[in-house]
Amino acid sequence: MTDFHQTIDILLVEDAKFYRSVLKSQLEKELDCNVICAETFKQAATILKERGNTFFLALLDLNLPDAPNGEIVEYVISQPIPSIVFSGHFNEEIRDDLMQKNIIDYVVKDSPASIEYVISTVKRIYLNQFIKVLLVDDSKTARYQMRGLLHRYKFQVLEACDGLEALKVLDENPDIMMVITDYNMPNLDGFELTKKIRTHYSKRELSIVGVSTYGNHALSAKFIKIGANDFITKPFLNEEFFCRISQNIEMLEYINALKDSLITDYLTGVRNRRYLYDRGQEMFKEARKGDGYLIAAMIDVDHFKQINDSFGHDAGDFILTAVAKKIDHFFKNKGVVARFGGEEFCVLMYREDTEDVIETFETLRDVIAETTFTYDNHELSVQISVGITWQSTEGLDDLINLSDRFLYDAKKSGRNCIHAG
Amino acid sequence: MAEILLVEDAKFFRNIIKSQIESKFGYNVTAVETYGEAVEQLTNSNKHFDLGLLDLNLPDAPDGEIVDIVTGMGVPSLIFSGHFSEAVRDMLEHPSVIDYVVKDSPASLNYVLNMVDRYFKNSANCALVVDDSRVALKHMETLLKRFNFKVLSASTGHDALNVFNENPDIRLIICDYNMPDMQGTELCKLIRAQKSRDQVCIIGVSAYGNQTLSAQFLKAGASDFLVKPFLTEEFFCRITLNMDALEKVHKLDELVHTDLVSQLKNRRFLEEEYERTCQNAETNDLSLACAFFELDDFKTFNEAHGNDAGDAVLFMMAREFERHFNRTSPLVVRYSGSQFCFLCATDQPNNFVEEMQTLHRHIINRDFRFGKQLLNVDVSAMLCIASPGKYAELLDDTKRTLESQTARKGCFVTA
Repeated sequence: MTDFHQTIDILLVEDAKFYRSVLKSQLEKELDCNVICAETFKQAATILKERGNTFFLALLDLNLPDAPNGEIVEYVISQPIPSIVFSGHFNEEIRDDLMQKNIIDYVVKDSPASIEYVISTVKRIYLNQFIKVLLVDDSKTARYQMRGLLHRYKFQVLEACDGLEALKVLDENPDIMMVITDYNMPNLDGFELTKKIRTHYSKRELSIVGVSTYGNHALSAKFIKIGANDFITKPFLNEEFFCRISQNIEMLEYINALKDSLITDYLTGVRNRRYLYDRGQEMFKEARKGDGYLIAAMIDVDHFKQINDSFGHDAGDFILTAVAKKIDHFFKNKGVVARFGGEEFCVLMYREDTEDVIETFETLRDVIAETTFTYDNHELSVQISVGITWQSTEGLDDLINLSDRFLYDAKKSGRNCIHAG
Repeated sequence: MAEILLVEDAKFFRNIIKSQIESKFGYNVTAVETYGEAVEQLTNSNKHFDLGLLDLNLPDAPDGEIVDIVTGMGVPSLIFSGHFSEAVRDMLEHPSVIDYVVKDSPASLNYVLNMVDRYFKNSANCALVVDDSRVALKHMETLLKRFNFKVLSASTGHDALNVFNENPDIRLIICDYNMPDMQGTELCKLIRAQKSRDQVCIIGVSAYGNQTLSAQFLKAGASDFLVKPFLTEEFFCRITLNMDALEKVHKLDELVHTDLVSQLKNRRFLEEEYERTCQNAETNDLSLACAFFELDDFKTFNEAHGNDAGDAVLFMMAREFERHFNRTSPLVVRYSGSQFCFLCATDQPNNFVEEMQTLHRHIINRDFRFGKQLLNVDVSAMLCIASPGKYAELLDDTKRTLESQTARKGCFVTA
């Protein structure tokens, strides 16, 4: 549910009590965030003086009792805190005025759908921080305009002045998720660039949005035919641009989420057993070819049944998830951490030598034993038993089974310990 | 199953398209190289073709003659061309030409595959077009039908709401701004009050020059916008992207609630569904019955026969469960490792008890074939029934009772 890497603070300034409380509770429920509320300009000013600029973003009502003409917007933006503004109704004058103020977006409060809109916008803005977009256009002015918009939505922006430079930037930044390209450019035009990119990246991996001009419609048709995901026609409104970009980014995110969900354990969020065996087979082969060792460790939460029996299954699930996160974090980028079943986790990793393997797992065992997990006002702590092996075996199955045998030994000799061989 | 006629003289392109369509989607592809062979297939084979994939330049028909003959037989078609030109684009004027593909780019293969996939998926999708101009309505209806959508239409906002409420399978709404009884943005808000962006896609249509209309549509909850006049390609691009997104969201939701090993619903689904089932039982004064099946000593079983065998047995058991029930239709989920849970709201709990008993006997007496092994499993079963007002703890109670009766492994117990 929460894709957030860390908890963020959001400032909400709104005098309508109902809207404020609904928004606060929905935001906190759906996103991992704290919503700090103010009802008036004065309250907001006090909060900002006390807390300084620690807000990820602000949600501001245009009409407050002590600031009826949108004074809050200029004040908060000057802090500077990126802001989304609420208005009771829509007219072009308000819209144009707001758009000039460099706000992220505005929301018309007149329907229940506006809550959904605010939440999805905040989520989008948060996720955008981690997304790289490459802008390709030979006109500095055009790049300046689009870069401004992309920055407003918190994207990371890279730039290139023609197709050749774009390919170079793409080469150096393979994590670019979207390319927005003009057609008419020296050296390599937008069509050739699109074709070249498509020889390496499919539409499901990298999104290309072609920019065409109104009146020159066939450009957009051609962009789509040669492999662009989408197009946008100039001149465009900020809202149109944001919609087009978000739609295409979200499509890639859905595709990635689908791929992920096939290899992720739904409860704990770590890899599932299917992934462990698939990736494990590759690791096993690689280890065989090289001089190193494939290490298999089976980890089991001691007396897990007691937690379920005394505190309920929700507490049990909570502990499993928390322990999984600890283990996953502990081995981040060093190996595969998977939920093997029930309260068992399996770690596979490749090591050139086996010197400090046991020590590493002893540290993990300590870390977990020393952690206090708080669930529903209960302070819970758990211990783990670990079975480890790096023996040369016939296949992956045997290796994992062997580590499980050592885990059994560890359990038998009193738990909260490690057996290896 | 869908039948596709592929007419393409370039051998590589022909082979790869045929094999990809057959392996990815399971449709039948009849592949021929020439106009003559295509005519032969159309007139002399008994096949009815649902879709044509046609190259414009064939050795015996160099100027797109194939298009008239194939579409003339009532087969909607996708056209291949070696290059992009206005003449190729003009083919879109042809009422049975769905779209064209330019073969010179590396992305063209995927474009064809997506298009074929989209075309057949659309037949399950219902679209609603709302516009007070008959000409505009007709135009968009034609485009959507060409794209294989089921199409409904309305010329006023109130009409649109009625049609929408009578047809819960509507997935796509294309809506103009100007209507006699309400603005398109108003309609948009009214629909959004009922269904979210993940359920129904709304595309707002505005005219060029009246620019902030698209912004207003987006603010009113539209998923996307189209600016008139638009090209056919733009229209289809917009529709495709939005329908794809909607399907991805559904697929994700389904995956989150499915157990990958057994292909049954998972525990998360049960937990989300439990309250609803209780409410339904309460309202209709039904008994709620819950049963757990647990494979005994599953860990030992896996160690003895391998995890793949364990997974295969879980999968085969799940299929037996799905086949079994006649008189009751319980929700069946894989609860965890080797536990399955059955939940049933019924006014005849005895029927459910009987069916569960039979199922239990059937499973423990049955051999499951995995490779060359014939595997037999022991299953402990626990069934509890709660009368109205006493549902709350049923699930936990049943599970706890099952786990506490270790001495009675392999038995079916009713509490």
